[in-house]
Amino acid sequence: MSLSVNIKKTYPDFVLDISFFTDAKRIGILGASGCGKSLTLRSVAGLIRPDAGRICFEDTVWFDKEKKVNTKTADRNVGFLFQNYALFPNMTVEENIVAALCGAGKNSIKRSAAEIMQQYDLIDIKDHRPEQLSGGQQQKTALARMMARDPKLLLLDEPFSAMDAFLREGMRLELIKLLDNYDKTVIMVSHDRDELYQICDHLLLMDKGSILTYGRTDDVFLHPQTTAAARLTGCKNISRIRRTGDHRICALDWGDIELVTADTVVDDITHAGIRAHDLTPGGSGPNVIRCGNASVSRLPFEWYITLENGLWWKQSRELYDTDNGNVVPAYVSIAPDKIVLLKE
Amino acid sequence: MDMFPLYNSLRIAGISTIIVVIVGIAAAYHIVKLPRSIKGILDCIFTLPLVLPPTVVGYLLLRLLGPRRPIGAWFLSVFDVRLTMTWWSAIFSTSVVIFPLMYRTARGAFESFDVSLKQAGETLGLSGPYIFFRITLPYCKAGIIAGTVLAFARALGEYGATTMIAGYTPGKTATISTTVYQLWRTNNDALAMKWVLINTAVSAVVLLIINIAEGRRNASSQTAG
Repeated sequence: MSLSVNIKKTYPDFVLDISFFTDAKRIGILGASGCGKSLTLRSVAGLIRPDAGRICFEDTVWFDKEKKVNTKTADRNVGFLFQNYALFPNMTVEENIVAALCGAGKNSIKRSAAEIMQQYDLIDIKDHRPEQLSGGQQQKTALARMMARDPKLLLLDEPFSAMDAFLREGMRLELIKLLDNYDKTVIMVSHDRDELYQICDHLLLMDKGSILTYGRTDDVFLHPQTTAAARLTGCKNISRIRRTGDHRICALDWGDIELVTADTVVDDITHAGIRAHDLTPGGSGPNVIRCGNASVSRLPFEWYITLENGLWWKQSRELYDTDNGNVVPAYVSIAPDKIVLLKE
Repeated sequence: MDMFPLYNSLRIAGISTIIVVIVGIAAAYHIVKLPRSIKGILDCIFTLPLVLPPTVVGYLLLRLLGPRRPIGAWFLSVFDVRLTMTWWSAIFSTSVVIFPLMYRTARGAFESFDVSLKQAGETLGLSGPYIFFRITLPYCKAGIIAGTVLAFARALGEYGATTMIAGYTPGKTATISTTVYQLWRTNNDALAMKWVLINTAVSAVVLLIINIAEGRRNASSQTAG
């Protein structure tokens, strides 16, 4: 199973210009809102038509501007989960499923609506209209409807963005369970890195209409390579640096402190990143940082501590929740292998 | 009392409404998808009959359909049919006059249609006609019903263009509105009043239906929100 996308689409105030090839099974597209990740997904589904380029899935060309190929969405057989689920409001849950079976055509293995509703636990709500359903029920119905056609490729557009945090956790687990039984390719778009980290084995980072990085999810989080990718993966501390040795840098935005790094500092490294939870209290190891006059922001379960030099430190509350002691230690340290070297 | 004017008015309004519902929905559905510049021009043309005096519409129609005018002359020579001064001539004038009402309400409904529903239909492999008749139209139902009833109500009251193109022949082309004018002109006040009351009653019923349809639309949009 493989997907290759190489397309360009120009809008008055935005240009989408992306090129990637993937043969992974669970692909996440991570990016801030307005970066073009949803447009990418819609191009693959054929819901928008690129100005130029080519889209290939497996051995089929879905779109080729030069050869004037543009397979209709209905013939691409992709499952698309819309952000608002797009359930047909004039139909009940059962009728929504039956409609999807109407579209399934002769070639696919036909399952009965009853069977599908049984599988997705929709029997009790089969006569309800979408407006009467909770967010979770709507999503389950949308998932069932999408799977009724036995799609070759699943495209999930911000599947949890319309839910509150509590419901989101539950639905995320439901989706993971569902995807375990689906052996074809899934592409999921989100601005929530935790969500994608849980579900996807490969990650595509996007920024301002183009692709920053593509790689295995773990690799992307450990070695984001660029400052934009580091920010997207949740790295809160990023500083300009001056190279002072093969394994030494001077962090210009953190009070000119000298730090020892595990990775070799090559010439094109311009920045370094430290994840807020990688700082450890106490002054051991080669990289000791003075906390100085730190400010503390107290959240229910964690503290966000801004050190005097501007570094941001996230610490679980229990560790320093003393009634009378000084909550911020005099020093924190950072292990050399936790310093992420970045390019602009 | 000869009830022909009521019967004639109802059949003219009914047939015109059916024509306008089909053409108006088709026009509205397709115009929403057009590029902005063409949309603006077509929108202007389609709405013009709403603001033009009905006599101007009638005059323009006569210029086209009259026996010595291009279309009228052609019909007369090929089919031996006169397009003016028959009962169904009023269908031309009435359709043109009520078209903007249907077109504009339907366009409003299509513009508020959630495109992701159509897209969802496409990803599910549903055909274009299935999506249009089973998803788009039901979604826009309330707006289309309101437009239909409004167009019908206006059709019942059409006078100016109709009187120019169909004239007034008792028992042949007379409608309620032309009859009232004729009766008033000939000082038959009592009968004129009767027709005024009949017209008012029919129109009131139609407006009542509009209100019920709109009330339902508001109620459904509230629960959806």
